Amino acid sequence: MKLKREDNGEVTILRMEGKLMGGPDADEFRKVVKDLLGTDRKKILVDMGKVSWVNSTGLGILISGYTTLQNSGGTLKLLHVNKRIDQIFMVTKLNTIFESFDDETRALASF
Amino acid sequence: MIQLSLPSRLELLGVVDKLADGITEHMEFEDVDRDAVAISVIEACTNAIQHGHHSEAVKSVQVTFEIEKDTLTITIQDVGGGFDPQRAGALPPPDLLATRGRGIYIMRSMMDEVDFDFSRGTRVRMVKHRSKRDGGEAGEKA
Repeated sequence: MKLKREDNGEVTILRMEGKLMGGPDADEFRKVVKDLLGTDRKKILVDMGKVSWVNSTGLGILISGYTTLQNSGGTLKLLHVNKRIDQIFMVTKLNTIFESFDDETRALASF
Repeated sequence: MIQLSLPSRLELLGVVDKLADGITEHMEFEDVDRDAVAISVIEACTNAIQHGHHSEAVKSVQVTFEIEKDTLTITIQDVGGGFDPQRAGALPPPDLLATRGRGIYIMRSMMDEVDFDFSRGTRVRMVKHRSKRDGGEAGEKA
C-alpha cells in the first residue's frame, strides 16, 4: 500500500493506493495517524479510490485509526470506497461506523 | 481442477485474487458473487499465512479450485496448528470496533458452504453456487 498525504484546510487527505492487508501497512498507517495527532491535525479523510481490495486485517487498520482519532476528539472518514470493499463493509456492518463519501467536495464540507 | 502453491507472503495475495476472479468470470458468475468468492479466498489465505504459517514464506499454502457446471469448490490448506472455528466467526465481533476476528465471519457470510478440517494442518473448504440470475441450477432450486 502507498500512502500520500495532502492537507486541505483543517482536513488531511490520505490517498491510499494498492491493497490494504496488514503487515507493514498497519505500522505505516498507525505512524501517519500518530504524527498527524502530534501536530494537532485530527480531521482525516482516507481516499480509497485506488485501493483495489481490503482484507479483514486491513479493516482492523482502518478501525484502529478511527478509534485512535475518536479517542483524541478527532474524526476519520472515507472517500471513494469501491463496490467490492463496500460489500465487506455491509457484511461486517462497519458501514454503520464509517462515514463514507463518493464526492470529495462534499466529504471535505462534512467535517 | 486448478491448483496453486502460494508462499506465505501477504503481498502474493493479489495472485490468488486474480486467479479466483478469472475463474468466476469464466464460470459467468454475477459480479457480486465474483467479488464474494475473491474476498473469501483472500480471507482464507490471509488466515493460513498469518495464523497458520506465521508468515513463514518457506511454508506454502495450497489453493485448489474445483470447477463444476454451476458450483465452484475452493480448498485452502496450510500446515499450521489449527483453531476452533466455533470461537471465531460464528457471529460478528460483539464490539464493532474490534480490530480482529472478522475473517471467518466474512467467509461464512459470502460463501454458500464453509467447513474446516484439522486432521493435517488446517483445511478450509468453501463452496459457491451460481445464483439463479447467473442461470445456475442451484439458484433455480432456491
